[in-house]
Amino acid sequence: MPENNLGSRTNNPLAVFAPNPVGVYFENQEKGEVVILLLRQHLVSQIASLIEIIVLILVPFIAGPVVAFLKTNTLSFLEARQVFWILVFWYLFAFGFAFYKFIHWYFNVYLLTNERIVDFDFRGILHMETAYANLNQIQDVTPKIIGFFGTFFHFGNVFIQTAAEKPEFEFLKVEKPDAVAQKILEQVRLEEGEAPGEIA
Amino acid sequence: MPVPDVTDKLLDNFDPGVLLKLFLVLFVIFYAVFSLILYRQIQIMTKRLPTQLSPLLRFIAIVNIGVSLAVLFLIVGNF
Repeated sequence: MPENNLGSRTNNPLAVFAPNPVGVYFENQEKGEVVILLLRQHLVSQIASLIEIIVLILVPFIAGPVVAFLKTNTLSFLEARQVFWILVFWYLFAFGFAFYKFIHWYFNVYLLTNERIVDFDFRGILHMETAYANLNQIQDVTPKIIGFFGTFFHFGNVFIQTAAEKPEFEFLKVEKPDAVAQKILEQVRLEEGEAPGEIA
Repeated sequence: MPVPDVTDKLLDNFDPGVLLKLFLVLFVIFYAVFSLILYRQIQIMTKRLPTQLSPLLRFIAIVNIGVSLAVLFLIVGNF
């Protein structure tokens, strides 16, 4: 597929803005339906999670000097092997937290195809949601860039009003929200020119 | 035996290490359940949206379950 105004196609599995992504398909994809754009939340929006993970990793290093500084012997009853197992559990927990944060980011995907928009929402450990809206159901698309980081790194939200079961789709913290909105509207206009039921 | 004597005796024999072990075992059980749920979530999501990383993520999730169960048994036996 040729390059388009969104940039060249990519096969980077960690891409946050992937026009015409290589090898991406999804459940319920129709024959002839092509993924035009794959979006994830911008990496800069994940800095808070990264800081949380770094703090979790550093806590055992900080805890020792803090206990020594306070001159308290509250943990003196612990044997060396007990301290070892507490540390093992702590780093297992830190890994689990980091892995969960990664999964949460990685599977929060927004897709634009030549037929619809798809929102894979992974909101929590027990909350998953997938929403679809056909392009001919899209009524309004509003890109918004708010805040210092959004302006500086050029990411923001795209709000999509639809006549589908879910009235508003939110593509949150995506790169180049104006270009995303433009591409969605472009696809909507193309879809309007097609015969009903045609997939092209 | 009077009640204060019983409580004094209990406090004398109290080992904070046992309490810590109980808490730790409980937390690791919670973690093992969490890792199982995480694996199931990855299974479901990779079915909905297969990607190049799907096999690797499933593998990491399985290793995570294995390690959490191993840590649970080792803490029960060795703490």
